[in-house]
Amino acid sequence: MSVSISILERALEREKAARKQAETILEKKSAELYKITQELQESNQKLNHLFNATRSELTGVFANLVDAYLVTDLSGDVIKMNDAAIQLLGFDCTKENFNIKHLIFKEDLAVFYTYFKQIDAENQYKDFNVRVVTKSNELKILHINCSMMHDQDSNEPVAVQGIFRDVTSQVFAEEKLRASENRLALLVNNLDSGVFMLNENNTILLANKKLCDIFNLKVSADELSGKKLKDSGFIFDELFTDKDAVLDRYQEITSKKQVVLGDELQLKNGRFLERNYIPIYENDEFRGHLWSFIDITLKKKFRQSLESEKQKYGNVIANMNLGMVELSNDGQVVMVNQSFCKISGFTEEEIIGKGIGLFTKDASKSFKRILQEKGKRIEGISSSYEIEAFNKIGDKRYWLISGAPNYTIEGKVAGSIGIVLDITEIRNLQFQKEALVEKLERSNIELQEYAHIVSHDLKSPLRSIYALVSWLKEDNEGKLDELSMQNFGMIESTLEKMEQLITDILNYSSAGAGTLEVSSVDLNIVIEDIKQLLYIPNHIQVEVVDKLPVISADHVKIQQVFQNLISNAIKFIDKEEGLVEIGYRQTEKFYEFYVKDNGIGVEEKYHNKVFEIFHSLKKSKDSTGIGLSIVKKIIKLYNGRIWIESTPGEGTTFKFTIKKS
Amino acid sequence: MTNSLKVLLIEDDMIETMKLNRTVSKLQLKHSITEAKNGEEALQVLEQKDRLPDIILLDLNMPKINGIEFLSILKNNDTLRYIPTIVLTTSSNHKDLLECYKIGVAGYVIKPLKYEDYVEKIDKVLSYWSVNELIKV
Repeated sequence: MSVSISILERALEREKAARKQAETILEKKSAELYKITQELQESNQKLNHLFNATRSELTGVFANLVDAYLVTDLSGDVIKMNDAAIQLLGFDCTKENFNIKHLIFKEDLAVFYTYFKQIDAENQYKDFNVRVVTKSNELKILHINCSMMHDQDSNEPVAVQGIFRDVTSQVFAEEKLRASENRLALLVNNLDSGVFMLNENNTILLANKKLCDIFNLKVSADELSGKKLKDSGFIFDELFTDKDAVLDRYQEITSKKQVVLGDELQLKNGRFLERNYIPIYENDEFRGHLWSFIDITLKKKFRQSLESEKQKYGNVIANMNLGMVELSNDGQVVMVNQSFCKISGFTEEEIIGKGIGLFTKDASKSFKRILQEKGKRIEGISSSYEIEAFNKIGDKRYWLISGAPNYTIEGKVAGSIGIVLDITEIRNLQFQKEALVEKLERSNIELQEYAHIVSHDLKSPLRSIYALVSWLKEDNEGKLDELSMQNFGMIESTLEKMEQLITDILNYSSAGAGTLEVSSVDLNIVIEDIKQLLYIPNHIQVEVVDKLPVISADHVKIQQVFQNLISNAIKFIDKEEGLVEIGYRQTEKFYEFYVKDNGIGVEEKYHNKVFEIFHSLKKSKDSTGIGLSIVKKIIKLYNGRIWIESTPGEGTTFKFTIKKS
Repeated sequence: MTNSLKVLLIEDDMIETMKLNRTVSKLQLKHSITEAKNGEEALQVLEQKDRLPDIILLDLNMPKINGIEFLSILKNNDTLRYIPTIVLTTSSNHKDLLECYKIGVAGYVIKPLKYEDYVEKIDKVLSYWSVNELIKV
């Protein structure tokens, strides 16, 4: 047992020692722990302090934040918000309860939930835009940064806080900008000019479709941008007819870096380009080149044909024999051609800029006429007129002017253009002619007067002789023998014939003289009058077989024609039953009359002679041989002719024509 | 009942004057004839207002004042314009005829060639005027 006691004793001893040791350790540990607790408490206090300080600091910051700030619980009910948030949203969580979800614009609600889940998962979600409807029913776009708030102790999520800003106007502005950028891009792409822009390192920033078309590039405009110029596919050698010149010019332009407009390039495919170059500067620093190309082939061809047309008309104007003058609205000469210089005698330099007073005397009739005509031009009216003008050496000339208004491209009257023809020669001839006609008329009248006076002076002695012979016969009745009385009778008949001759000569000279007094003449009435006037023996019939026309003629003269022909016919009828027949037919231009008798007829060799003056086939008391000459003369006045158809012994037909007027 | 007329003959041709005088005496007419060789002489005759003629026979072709000029003077005179004036002429000129009637004549007689015709015409003219009522001064 002792052994076991000793063992027990020893074990107890060991236990005692161990317990003592453990107590010491524990004491030591306890002291350590206390110390640590002490320290921890201290630092905890410090931390709490710090936290509180930071927290209050933050609260102040949030409250005073320019941006709106609000806190919601996890269901979205707003529990806290600053003044900016109240102002922006119109709601105030201290006055009313509201949930953030009710503010979100309907269409954005679904996406907003996904954001909310995101916050749940990642504790925060930043930089997103959401549309909200404010209390005043305004739609606003908010830019939001959100984060989750956790419980201090349990670290469980308790609330969501968000900072947001109204970006409505900013977004709209951005949209506008984008739209206008799009439009610009569309415009550039569809521009009729080929455009490409390079930066200072010759990297292509922008090119459009037209550019690719013009230069026949194998790539699209989009593919070009970002490429270096040398990689873009431009091959000078293949494009331009004069590649060296184009290259030189390119070097020159790009080194000078100044605006160059309107360079013309010819392509090998026959087309022409107009090139413009604009260097781009930003804050006085060179940033790149803007090139634009326009295909002017068509324009150039137009211009060329226009040029050749202009050349053609220019030549016509310069070389035509008509003078041309262009006047401005205030009456100054703007342009003249060579012919006008020749017509006026002045040189071009002497004329240009002068007024019309250079060619007309101021305030003269012609001067006023030109001004008057110029007034018409301003109203857009063309007209022709004649003026008296004076050339450089002061000779009076006659100009025929045909004037027309001259218009600007806008259609306004810019002045007038006159075509001038010098008609002095024609005018002088006309004057001469007028003078001659007047002189002729005068001398005709004089001749007529003269004929009357001569006839009077010749007839007076005849009458006197006749009276004296009558008295001799009267006073010596029964004293003179038969033969003497017969001789007296022969003196009387000779006097009568002499008188008739004088009368006929007077008629003949009157026939072609004086003016034709034209009226409408009914020939049926004329023939009736003649039948009354003439002595027609009982055995002779005068018959009108056709109804005669009414013609325009001088009544007296046309009556004389028919009267002479009828009396002539009567005179030569030798048949027991005499017949004078009058008729006519007409053609398009002429009346053809005839007077037919059954008299002695005329041998053909005399057909022309009968119309000669003083030629009478039958020497008789009452024939002087002038009657038919008068007829022929009058018919000539009417552009007609007269001829004879006759069978000797059977009769004669006189035919004559009178031109229809 | 016919009046005997005081006739003023204005005629430069002596034989023509003889013809009228012989005609009047041949026809045994009671008319008295005053002769004037030209217009001037006639105007002198017409100055004697108490012995104005009843009718005037006027030739057209005369020296100095011719017939038409004389006619114009006559027609411009308030007294003389009423004396019937008959033109007695050789001129068958239409222009003369027209002019005379325009100024105002009481007749226009063309002198015929034959003396017998002349006598006949003068007889008729004088007979006509001798049965007319005339303005007496």
